[in-house]
Amino acid sequence: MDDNRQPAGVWLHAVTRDAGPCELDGVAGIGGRAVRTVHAGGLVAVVSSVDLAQFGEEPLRRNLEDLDWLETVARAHHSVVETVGRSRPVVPARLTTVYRDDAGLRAMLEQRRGDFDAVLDRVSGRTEWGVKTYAVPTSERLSGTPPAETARPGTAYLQRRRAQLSAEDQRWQLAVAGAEEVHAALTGCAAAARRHPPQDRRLSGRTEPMLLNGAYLVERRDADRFGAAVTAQAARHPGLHLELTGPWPPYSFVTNEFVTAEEEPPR
Amino acid sequence: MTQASHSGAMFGPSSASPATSGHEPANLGDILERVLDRGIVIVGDIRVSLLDIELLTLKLRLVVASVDTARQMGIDWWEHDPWLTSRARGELPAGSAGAEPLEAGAESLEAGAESSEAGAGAIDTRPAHRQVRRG
Amino acid sequence: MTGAEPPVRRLGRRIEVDRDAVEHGFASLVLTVVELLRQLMERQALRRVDVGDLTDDQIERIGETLMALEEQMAELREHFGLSPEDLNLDLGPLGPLLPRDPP
Repeated sequence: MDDNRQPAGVWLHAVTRDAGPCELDGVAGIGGRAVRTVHAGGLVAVVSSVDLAQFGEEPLRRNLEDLDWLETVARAHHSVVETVGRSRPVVPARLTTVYRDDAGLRAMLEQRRGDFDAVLDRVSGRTEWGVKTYAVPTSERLSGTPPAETARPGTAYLQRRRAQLSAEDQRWQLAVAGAEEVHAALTGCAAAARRHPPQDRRLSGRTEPMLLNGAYLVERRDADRFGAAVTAQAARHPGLHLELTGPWPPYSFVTNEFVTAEEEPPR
Repeated sequence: MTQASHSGAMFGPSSASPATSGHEPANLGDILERVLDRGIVIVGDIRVSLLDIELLTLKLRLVVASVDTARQMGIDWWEHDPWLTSRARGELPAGSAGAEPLEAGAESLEAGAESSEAGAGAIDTRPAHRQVRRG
Repeated sequence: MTGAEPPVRRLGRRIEVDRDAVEHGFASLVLTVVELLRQLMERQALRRVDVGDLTDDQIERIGETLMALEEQMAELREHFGLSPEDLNLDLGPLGPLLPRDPP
């Protein structure tokens, strides 16, 4: 039951085609309520009714800085997206897409149906895989060529440092080049590929530098082949550590042609 | 020593499921990265700039902020430590930093480190005085 | 910065501040900046040496100075009880401020 004392907002999780029943009965959305659907323009938006006291602009800004709150909401949002995407092409919405009412959302869907259709076509039958590449950590300090024996102490120091720095630089270049090769190879196995900025180390939990944060859109039926390609790349590049995650809903492949922050919402 | 590993400890796409299937929840970082920074960007009625988000406690920001906090709490030992204060020492030994370069150092770090467009992990380069607001 | 407990613990929405950790974090920030400058100076000196227009005595003098600087940094670090790994800053997507391998 909706609490009539608080204004209710509409949190958008994802958009899919209006084709056949959505098996979303009882799927939990944000804030514990079940999700529901909003239909317009041949599309179905999967939404949660939310309390604007928590999800209005000011409270949202504050809540987003609370990592516990953010984690709960992010996981719940992702879970809905994933559930929808299990059986049909899905366009995930970015976190914090909130409307004041269904009407606003419907109007947007009508207005954007062409864009949504194009994206849904692109991701249909495909899932996203993430591949992160790290330089393998090394505890041994590179020394490079030792200085000439007759060198004076200051000069020897400089020679040591130069050798160390050039050995480090060289190893770095090799690692970077290796990551490029990995990305090129995996792109060849995918319908589409995107490079993302390296993940913040507070999120990745790793100290080694991340050389590649790639997303690959792969046909569902090619999933095993893609995995094998990742294993093969790992074997070819002993200086790199590869990490594969997936399958994901196609978060990375829905953003290109869409609305930017400057656009006015439809009324 | 190389491996391609899958979050969830089992390698192999067919056995993979990143999130709420009940066994291993996917890495929060991977989820945040996707839901905050990817997915369709549609301007709804509620607008929140994701670049304003302070995701996690940032040590840099915290340390810079804590200089003011520390002073307020009466911690100011660095103003008397001979290594850090040229006044206390008389002259700077070669290679040591005086007390004032801290501010300059922090500012140059702010100027140098750009805010990343990726929402997850955006570095906040706002000046320190805006940070001290939680108590 | 590895090895140090975050000085701020989140308790729901309240924040506690650990004084010792604040001081520790402060010292490592200062020294990280100093260390950054030292490494930049070293690289610049090496480039200058490579240009080839310095006498052997000048090169020796530069090397001695840099060597003394490195020793001084080590002393400073010890003075504050910091390991080489403590002198670093995580700039998020930009990676660490200083190269990971200790000089």
